[in-house]
Amino acid sequence: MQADEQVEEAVIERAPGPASTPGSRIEDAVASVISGKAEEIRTVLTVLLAEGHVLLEDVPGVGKTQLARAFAAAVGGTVRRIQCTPDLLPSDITGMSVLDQGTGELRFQPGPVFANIVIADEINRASPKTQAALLECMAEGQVTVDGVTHRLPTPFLVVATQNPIDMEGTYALPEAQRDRFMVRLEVGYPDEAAELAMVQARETAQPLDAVRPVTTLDEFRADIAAAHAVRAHELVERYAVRLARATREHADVRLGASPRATLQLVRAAKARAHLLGRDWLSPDDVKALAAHVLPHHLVLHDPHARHEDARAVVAQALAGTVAPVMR
Amino acid sequence: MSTVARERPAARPTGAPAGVPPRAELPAEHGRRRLRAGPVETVALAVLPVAWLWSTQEVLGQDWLWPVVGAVVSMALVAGLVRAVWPAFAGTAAAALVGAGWVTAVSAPDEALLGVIPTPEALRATMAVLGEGVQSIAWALSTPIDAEGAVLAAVVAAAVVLTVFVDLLGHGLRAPAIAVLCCAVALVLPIAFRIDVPWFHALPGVAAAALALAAPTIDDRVALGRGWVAPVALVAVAAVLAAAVPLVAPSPRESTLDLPTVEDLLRPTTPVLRTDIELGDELRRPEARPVFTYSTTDGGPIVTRLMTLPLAGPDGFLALPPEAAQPSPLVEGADLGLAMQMTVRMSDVRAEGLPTPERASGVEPPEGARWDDANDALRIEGSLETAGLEYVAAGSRSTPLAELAGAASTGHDELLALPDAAAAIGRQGAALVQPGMTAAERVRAVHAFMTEGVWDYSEQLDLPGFGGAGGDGWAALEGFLETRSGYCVHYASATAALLRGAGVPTRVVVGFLPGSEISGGFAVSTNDMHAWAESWVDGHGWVRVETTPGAGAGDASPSPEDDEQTQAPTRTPEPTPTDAAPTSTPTPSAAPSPGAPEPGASDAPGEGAGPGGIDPAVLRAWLLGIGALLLLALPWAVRQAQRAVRLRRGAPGAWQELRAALADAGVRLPASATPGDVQAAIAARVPPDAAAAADRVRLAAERAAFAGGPREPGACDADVRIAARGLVASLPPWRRALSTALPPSLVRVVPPLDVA
Repeated sequence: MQADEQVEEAVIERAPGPASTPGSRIEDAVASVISGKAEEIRTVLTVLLAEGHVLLEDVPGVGKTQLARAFAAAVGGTVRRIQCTPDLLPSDITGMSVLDQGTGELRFQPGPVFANIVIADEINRASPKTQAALLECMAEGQVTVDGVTHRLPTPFLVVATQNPIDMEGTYALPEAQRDRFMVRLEVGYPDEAAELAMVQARETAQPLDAVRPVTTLDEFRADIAAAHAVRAHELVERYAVRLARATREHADVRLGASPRATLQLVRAAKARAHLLGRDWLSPDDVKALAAHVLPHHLVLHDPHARHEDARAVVAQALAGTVAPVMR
Repeated sequence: MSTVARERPAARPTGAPAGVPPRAELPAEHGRRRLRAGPVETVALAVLPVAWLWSTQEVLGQDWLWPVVGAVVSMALVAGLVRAVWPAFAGTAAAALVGAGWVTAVSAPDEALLGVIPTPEALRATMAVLGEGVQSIAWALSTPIDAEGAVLAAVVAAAVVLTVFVDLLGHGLRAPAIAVLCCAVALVLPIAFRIDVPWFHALPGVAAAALALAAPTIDDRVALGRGWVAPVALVAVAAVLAAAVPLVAPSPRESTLDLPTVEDLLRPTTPVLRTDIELGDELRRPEARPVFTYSTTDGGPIVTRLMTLPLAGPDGFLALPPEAAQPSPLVEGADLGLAMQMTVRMSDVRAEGLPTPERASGVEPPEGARWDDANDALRIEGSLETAGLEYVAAGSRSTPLAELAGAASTGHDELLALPDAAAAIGRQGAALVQPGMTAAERVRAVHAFMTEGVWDYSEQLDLPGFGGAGGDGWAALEGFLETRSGYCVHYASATAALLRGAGVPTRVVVGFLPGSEISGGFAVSTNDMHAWAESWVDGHGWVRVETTPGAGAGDASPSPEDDEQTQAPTRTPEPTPTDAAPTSTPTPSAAPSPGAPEPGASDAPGEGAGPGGIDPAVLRAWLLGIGALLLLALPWAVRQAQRAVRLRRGAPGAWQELRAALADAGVRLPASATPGDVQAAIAARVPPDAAAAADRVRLAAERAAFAGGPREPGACDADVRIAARGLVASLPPWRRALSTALPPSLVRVVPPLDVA
């Protein structure tokens, strides 16, 4: 318990003060569980605030589930996990109507998708049909079963994980499906110090248990609305559009960033601005998020191109686009 | 999958406050790569040295052009190639090596390895040749100076130095604002060389300087895909305007302010005393410099001989090949007049001979000199360090023409010959005398012809086809006899040729007027250099026939008391007072006001400022110093004005100013850099408080620009000052001084994009 107390002390030390926002409190709470991954935590929080979804492509065991659970705990929401297999059916995700033996009525039994944070493990192992069903939920924010529409809770974040493509028995996500994720993220291995801290922290207890909600769902919803309301000057919006267009004009690119990607970019950038305590959008927000939001939307000419190549294209687009001049 | 962790950008430390955005640290080579000049700028900087030298063609001709172009182009190419791989300074170093090869190849190819690689001997030879070349340029008596041999080596060396200088400033330090200074060339050259530089000769230099200034902008616009027409048109307009200045403004040489000359700046150089004469060239008279001082046993002044030119060559009078002999009495069986001895103390000069009394009877040649009997001159063997040299020579003064009584001239018939080109002058001389006249009468008749009526002294030739053209000297002399306007060389040569035609053996002498009196003797300067004719008359020996207006009535001044009578100038170093020369207004050195001491001339005691007035020399030095300071401070002043204007525009202007300050600190972020990138670059170089100040400016500017925030001026001034001070403090002192004097941001704040 000693380690937990230290963590909590650390949180309490930094939590109060005028600068404390729900966002920063969530960040600190998650960081107490996942050490050494501040950048990734910030990115996921940004997506959560921007009402987007995250695609994690990484080897097993680097803490994807821990990350999602910590977020759920910090916002005081629910978390569900779906292990995707080839025989998984769409109704296994959305839920179905079942006959209530007591009342004799058809009752909707919600599936695992009805949660604030849904972890869809190994999404590329599910059949395309099931993938489509999940992605539809993500896009619409609602589920329709037997003609009845059921709204999904807010905040609603899908963290889909995907094994590297060269593994066998997988259905790689088609471009159209990949387009629905706001951010593609690699968690990566922790560095030596972080891994050691993690091992030591778990000698006595599970740090996840110590995470208490630092905000209420209502408060967090208000935060989402505030992030959405961040002012975006035309110059900055134009910068985002030019960035997207630059990826389309790049010589190595077969399919550039879609207009949906541009929308997601601006939305995520607004969330970042809000997290940093600003009520206006800065070119830096766009630039910082472009590296996370744009690459997985691109399809390169080279069929063996990897994600790093797409990131390089985005970096070149950033270097080749004039930043808005403040006048 | 092990690549996953490697690729991630440096994460923000988890302990950092949530309000500070993560700093996307730029890769280390990012900033260095940005320091490269664009293609237009590279070309402009390479053209600059050649274009600058081009404006000197009135002085140096055009023979230097191809060697210089070869050197500059090869240096620029090598520098560019090296710079493609290594840092900018390596390119400059490579260019310097190539330039050294060129200078060696031009100056000392025989001593160098493979003709270009300098060895210690080659280096010594090169230094000697360069010294000779610089002095030939600084002390040339006429223009254009042929760019051959040592002069060519000096010009190539100047081009090499200029190229390295421009390369270092433009590419190495990225301060192309230096080009501003090059704009002053058109102003400086006429003063330096005391000639009128045609405005169209200065045009390429001015245009290249303007292009070098505008090139970064042109490169930016080309890289951004915007039109390049506007900046190029601006360059053209600026060049035309700058070139038009000499057309409307008075020539600086005609202004009353006596500006410094190259000779002033090159004060330590040794004056060169040239004894060959060019009848077709205009006289370019350098600033007076001391040549020697002397004292005589009888205390009087004396005209001294440096070289005799006995041979009437195809192009004018020449010296004979040296003929070694013991000093012998020059006047056989003649009345030598009062014998005297003069003691000579030389200053540092370079010459072929040493001064001796006009009629030397005995000389003890100092070490390194010997008597040349063919030319009656004390010749220097090889090169001799003349500074401090002291020797004694005996001799006498020439007989005044009025006292001449000799009947004939015998024993020197070879001095009657004239080349075919001078036959007309010879006939003219023969027509001046009657067959029955004695030698003395003939001399007096020719002297009378040369001195009676209107004769002008002018250092510029009024003859069509002459004045810098060189070439046929005898034709120029005929022209001189028609226009009756020239300088001492023409008077001496014409008198000698006429006298030969009149049957009197005559030769031309190059030497010195008596000079000005100082305590214990006389001081002779380069301005006392003179030429005259000398005839042989039996019973009198060699007789000086002085016909140049104002240089004396043909008599040696027997004593200083007879100054007024003989008109030999003893106070002013000028041999020919300008009041005798109506056409002399454009000759700058011709009229030093009697009260103003010549700077660098023999500073005789008592020749200072008049009582109660400000010494003009001191005033001039002050004015020059202030002017130079103003010119040097110009970039700084423009930068300050720019800052003031920017700060008046509120927070966004303040942010522009911070970006400029960053550029001044040597960091130019491309146009794709967002405010966060700029902030990160600043924060990486300054202490935390300055970084925080810069961040406050950034937030205020963003709020004003992107969220309609307040823009009142002055709100960010304090923060800008803190951050800018931090940036300046991050530089080493020499870089600080350089960026203050030549702020790089004056030319360009935002370099072009790095488009893949």
